[in-house]
Amino acid sequence: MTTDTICSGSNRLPLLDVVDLTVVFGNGGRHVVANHCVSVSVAAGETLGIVGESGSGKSVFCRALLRLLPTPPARISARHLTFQGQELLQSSEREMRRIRGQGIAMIFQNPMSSLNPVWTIGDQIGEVLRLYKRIDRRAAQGGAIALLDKVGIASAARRVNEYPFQWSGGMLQRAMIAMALAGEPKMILADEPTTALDVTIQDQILSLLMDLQRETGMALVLVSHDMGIIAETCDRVAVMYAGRIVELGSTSEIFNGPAHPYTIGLLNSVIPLDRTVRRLASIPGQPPDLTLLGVGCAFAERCSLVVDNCSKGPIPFHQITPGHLVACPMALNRDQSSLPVDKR
Amino acid sequence: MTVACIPSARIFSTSVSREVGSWSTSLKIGCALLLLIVVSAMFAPLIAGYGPDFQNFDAVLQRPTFSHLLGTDSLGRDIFSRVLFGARLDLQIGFIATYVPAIYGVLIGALAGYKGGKVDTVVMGVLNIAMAFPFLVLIIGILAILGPGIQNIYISVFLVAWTMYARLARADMMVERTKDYMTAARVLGFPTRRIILRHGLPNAISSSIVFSTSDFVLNILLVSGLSFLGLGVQPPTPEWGAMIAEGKDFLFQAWWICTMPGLAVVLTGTALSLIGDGLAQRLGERHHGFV
Amino acid sequence: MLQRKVMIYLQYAIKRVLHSVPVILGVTLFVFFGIQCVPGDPIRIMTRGRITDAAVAGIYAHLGMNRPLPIQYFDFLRKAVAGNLGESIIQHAPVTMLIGEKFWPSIWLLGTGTLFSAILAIPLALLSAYYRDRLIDHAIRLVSIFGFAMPSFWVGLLLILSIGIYLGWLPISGFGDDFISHVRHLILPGLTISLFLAPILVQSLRSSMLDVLTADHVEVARAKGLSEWHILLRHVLPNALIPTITVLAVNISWLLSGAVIVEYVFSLPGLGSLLIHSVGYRDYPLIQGLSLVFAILVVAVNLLADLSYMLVDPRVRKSNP
Repeated sequence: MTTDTICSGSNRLPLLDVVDLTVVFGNGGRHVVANHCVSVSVAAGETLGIVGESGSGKSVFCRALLRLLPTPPARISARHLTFQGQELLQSSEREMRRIRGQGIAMIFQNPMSSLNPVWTIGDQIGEVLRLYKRIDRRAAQGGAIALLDKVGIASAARRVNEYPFQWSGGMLQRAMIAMALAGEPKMILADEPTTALDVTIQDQILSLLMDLQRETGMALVLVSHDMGIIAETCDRVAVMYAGRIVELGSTSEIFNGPAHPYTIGLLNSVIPLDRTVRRLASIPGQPPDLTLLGVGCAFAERCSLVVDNCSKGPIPFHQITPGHLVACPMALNRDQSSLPVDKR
Repeated sequence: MTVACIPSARIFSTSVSREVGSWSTSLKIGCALLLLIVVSAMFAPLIAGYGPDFQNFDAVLQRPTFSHLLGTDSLGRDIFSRVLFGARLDLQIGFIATYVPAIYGVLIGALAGYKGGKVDTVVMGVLNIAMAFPFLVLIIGILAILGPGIQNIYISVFLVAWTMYARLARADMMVERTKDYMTAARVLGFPTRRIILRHGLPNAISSSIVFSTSDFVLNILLVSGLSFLGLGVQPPTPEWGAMIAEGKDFLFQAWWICTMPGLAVVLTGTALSLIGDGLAQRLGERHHGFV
Repeated sequence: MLQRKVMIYLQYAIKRVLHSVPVILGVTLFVFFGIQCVPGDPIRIMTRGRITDAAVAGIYAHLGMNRPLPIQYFDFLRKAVAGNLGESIIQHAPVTMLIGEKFWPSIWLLGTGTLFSAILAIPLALLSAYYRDRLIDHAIRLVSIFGFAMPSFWVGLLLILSIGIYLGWLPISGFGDDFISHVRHLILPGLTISLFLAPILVQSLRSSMLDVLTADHVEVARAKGLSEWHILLRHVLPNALIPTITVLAVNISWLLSGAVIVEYVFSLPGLGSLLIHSVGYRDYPLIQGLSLVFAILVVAVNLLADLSYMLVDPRVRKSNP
């Protein structure tokens, strides 16, 4: 599969191009294959959603992109891992530092613990500003105030000198977003940015991210286990299971016509709000032990469409439509209407 | 019945060789070193070339040579032999001074931590007062009053050394107290004594065990320090600190009289600290340093 | 703004001091009654027993020491609060004066020792944390263990021998007459203390730093593009100093003990040597005064530690209005 076909039929050169990213943890005996041959690409201004359950490798993926994983236990390899044409795996630590924050910024899951408790918010945002602009503390402070304003913090000028323990979770996440924007990045990786927040705040933060993205033209990679969030905000979706991408396509393709049995199972297990269900649908079985994965499909033992070939060898991507890929040979063969798919 | 009993105490393990194999390097080296020292001390009469009190006025203040491996002191006594015999004394005093207070210190602390309330308040009050006072100052005071000598060292140490163990055991016990297995034991109607001793304590002593190795080192330093000041072991008994004091006046001409016993202390202390480090890893303790 | 800050600190300090008063009282009580349980008394020791019982009784009556103990104790307290710690039986001088003379050298020694320890410990701990589990880390830890096991008097003697005598660079005893001289005289003793204290600090700091390095905000800092050294110095070290201050305060007792021995080895005219003398002669008023001073010192150090928490950790500041 070439990168062109992975891209949704557009002719733009991808901002981020990942081909066959593999991340293995382990020294000596046991190995955990956290990411196996993961391939995606993100174009400028695009929103890519990565959805999967806990342990599917989504967070590892984000960290691998920025090379934030400590490389004695982790081993990262890929055929391509390019950002704006630069091969990230060949870059020196210095070059990576330039990319972090200024090329690709990252927002983390737990805002309460993501900021240094003994530094003021303003100083922490200003730190990024001072990293690549030769400005003094005062100017950085001014920049921080402007950024806090932009992300919707009221009375930013007064609050900029406060400490993280004085802010609520939602406000802290806004501060994180401000910090991420400070470097004027081309792309933001958001690793479960709303999981630790109240539902009402979740919505605000997501809208904020969307607005900012429209304004700045940044790309956004949104990682979540919440299908609803992904459906609302993303252009394209990648479904991850056990460290692999099992399906990739546009949001409407994935949500209206899911092809991979896992994706179908995921969508089915979302509880509908508009009618009552007697029984909660769930995918039978457990996610696999990542140290014991064989060569075949990782979903095989839980899949209702499984055949012998599924466990024999690596499953290549099959194309349903240009831009909609699925790692399941059975998906092509079956009639779309014969499997119970719950449409929302 | 120990069903709800020992969730995390892995001190009791299955096969000895597998256990030793899993030890960290520092633990292995520390144990080996300590073993060497203890064995040398035990077999001192066999290993030492001379008696510790044997004076040879023809060989006074000699440099280290083959016949006197670590040299001789101002009375012609062989330093190597004296260091070996001194090891017996220092190790013995260190051991007793460490582990005797440890026992009742841990018990007091565990009781205070488990019971809480008035018992705890009283114990904390005593602890605070005891710790507001420099350890050595107190001991010097007691020794100067009671007179020098090993017996009195023991008395003074037994009076004050238990406090740190009480603190550690109390803190650990307060954590264990909230755990389910302790509640289960209470519900089953076990008497307090049994709950503390057989259920709580095995899990609450890890930090005390790790600390005891550092305490051992500190006690050896204490004993040698007191002997150095003339308040501890009296001459001519060989003891490392006393030997350093004796060598003080000959520092310039015969530096080895001071240096060798000191090296013995350092070696022993290092072995014990390595063991402490290794134990901390083995027991899963957060080892924040020596004390 | 500044005034308000000072007020906050002051209020906090006063609160903590009030809390420590019972402890100090407890210490004086213990010492007071403890000494009384002791065989031998100063007068007879001084006169080597060549004195009649009547004369001894007379002297004690004159000194007010034949009254019931509780009365003597409260008398002591009353006078102590007013700043009068009595008069030394042996040296016939006010205790406060005797202590005052020897006070500053000890404080200087403690300060120098702590300063040298910090200067040694912080860079070593940083290196240890940065190069974790590599050769440098193991080497530093081994050296720490050696340092901890070295008896302070032994180190002192070796330093005297090597730097003082062989190289003749620094004075080896006494305290000197002026500021520069003080500093020169304190270098070796301070170094001796630091060789004992620094290992404790290094281990503690290293452990705290490794703890902080696993925190979320450190990963975030890396994702911001900051260099590892910048993160260590500005984001890890300040946070790690907080628990280390605790360790330092808890070990103050050992520090003071070590200082006593070092004073002896280097013939520094400080509280340590005063203590050893007074105990030898059973000089009760002096012993009492000294124990009071030592207890206050320990309390003061703990108070300083608490105050420095306020300086370093904003969360402590805000919760103590």
